[in-house]
Amino acid sequence: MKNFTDELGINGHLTIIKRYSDGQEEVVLDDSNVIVSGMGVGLSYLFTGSGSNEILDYQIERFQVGVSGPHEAYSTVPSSIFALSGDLTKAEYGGGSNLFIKEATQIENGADILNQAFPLIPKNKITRISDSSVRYTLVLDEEACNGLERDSSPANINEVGMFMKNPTGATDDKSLLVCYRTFSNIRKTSDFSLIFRWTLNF
Amino acid sequence: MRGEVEVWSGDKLVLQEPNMLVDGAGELLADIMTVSPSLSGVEDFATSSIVDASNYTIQAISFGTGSEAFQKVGRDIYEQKFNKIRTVINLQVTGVLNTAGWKTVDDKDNVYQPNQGFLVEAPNPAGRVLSENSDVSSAIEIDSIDVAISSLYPGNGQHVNFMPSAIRNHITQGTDFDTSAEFVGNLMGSYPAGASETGSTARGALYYLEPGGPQAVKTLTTGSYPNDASSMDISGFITMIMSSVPNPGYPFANTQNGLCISANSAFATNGTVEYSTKLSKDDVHSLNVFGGIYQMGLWTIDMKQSLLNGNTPPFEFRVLDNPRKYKLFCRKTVSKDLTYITDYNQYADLTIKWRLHFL
Repeated sequence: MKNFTDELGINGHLTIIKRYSDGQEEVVLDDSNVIVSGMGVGLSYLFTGSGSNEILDYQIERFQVGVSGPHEAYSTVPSSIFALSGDLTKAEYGGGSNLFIKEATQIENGADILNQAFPLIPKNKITRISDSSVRYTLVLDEEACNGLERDSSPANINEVGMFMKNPTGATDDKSLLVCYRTFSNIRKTSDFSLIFRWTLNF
Repeated sequence: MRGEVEVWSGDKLVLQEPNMLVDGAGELLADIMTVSPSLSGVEDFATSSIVDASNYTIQAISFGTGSEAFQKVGRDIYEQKFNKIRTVINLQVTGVLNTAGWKTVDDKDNVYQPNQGFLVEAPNPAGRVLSENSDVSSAIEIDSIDVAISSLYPGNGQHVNFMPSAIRNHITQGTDFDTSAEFVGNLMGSYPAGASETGSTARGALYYLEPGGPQAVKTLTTGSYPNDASSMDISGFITMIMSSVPNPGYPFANTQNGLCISANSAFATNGTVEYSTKLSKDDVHSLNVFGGIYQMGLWTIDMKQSLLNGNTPPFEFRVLDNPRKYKLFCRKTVSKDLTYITDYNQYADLTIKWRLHFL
């Protein structure tokens, strides 16, 4: 039996662009994404009236990037992914960047994981482009996520996910992964901004 | 499977089939994702209420039939001469009888004669209503001029709720149809009055016409469940009465009183939400007279249209002047009338259980 989000036909398309300071752009990915089961979980809180009473808590307004993708479930049951495999810390997003980082709890497979770092998506970067399509533009500017290392080795960005803000209506936000995508390694430097243009079709 | 619909006639399962999510569902999710956060900070209560989550969930269910039914069956009495049904109208005017419906001669016997025979349009995922072209084509002679009923209330694609005296009198007040409320109610249909409504002899009755005049077929004594609970508006939307916060105006979690939502103990793993309601056997019989049930729909509030109509949230449900405008979320079309029966004395309550699977 297909679930609600499958049958509704919710799908997404992600374009990742390197933009250099001289204005040149390089498209490094232009492909579909994975809507994960968290989308259904979040919407079920809404439709049963058992979650937050404020509709803003069901909005997708934060994201994460990671360095350990693809997630182990990506090749088997990608819709079961509930977290990035190597999400960045607040410090790794870069203190000099324009990102506003919110530290909040993340719901991972029913468990609360505290103090996760989420860059917020500015409201003016969330655009309705048709009756049932919304485009999110996520920007890692030139100062963000540069020179990443894990275990004293260079680490490359290779996964990204977007999150529903707080569907359970918890006093302090508890966010839920709703869509995910892995991609080829990108070594982020201050030479370029990395732009994720993510369109969800509901 | 996009969710599934179960229909029970009494304790007999008569339908179990998948439903269809329509474009309105996708639009609703896009609405949700793009509500402006700045609204929550506005001190004006009506404005900040726009972000209330209940405005974005399923809030009503409705029933429909084929387009042709709005020009035929119980709405065909003009062809059978209004002056012949005056005796019944007088019963309604004097309060002896609340609602009256008209069967065709072929349907007068308790052995059902499926005379309707009209085609039901295929379900359209882009559809905004259950049925297109649903204007009632009947006209009433007023001052020697035939006035079309549709000038009073254009079709909205589904069974409307004009029959009970309180509703038909309210709708026609101050219009050309002011003195023809009973005619209008009998033509528009579709649900009888509730058991507690006026009508000293009966909440409703069904007739057929013979050359000598109307002949009673069936007296409706149970009445309509949703009308008795005042949970159905004039447009035929049965409102949600119970969610996580029960509406204090209705008895708790009784599907007779409107649309209820529930989830079983395995919700955390199966994510299944059930919407259910119950129509009385008299509701079912009366709907049969007006074309039967071929369509069903679950509806959310259409925030944009509700605001454009000059209403401000919270949109409190009202029967006569409902500020809520609805957006179709999912629908079910059946090829066999759910009110079909071989002996109308055997009509039973109809229970609808509509499940959506989120996981």
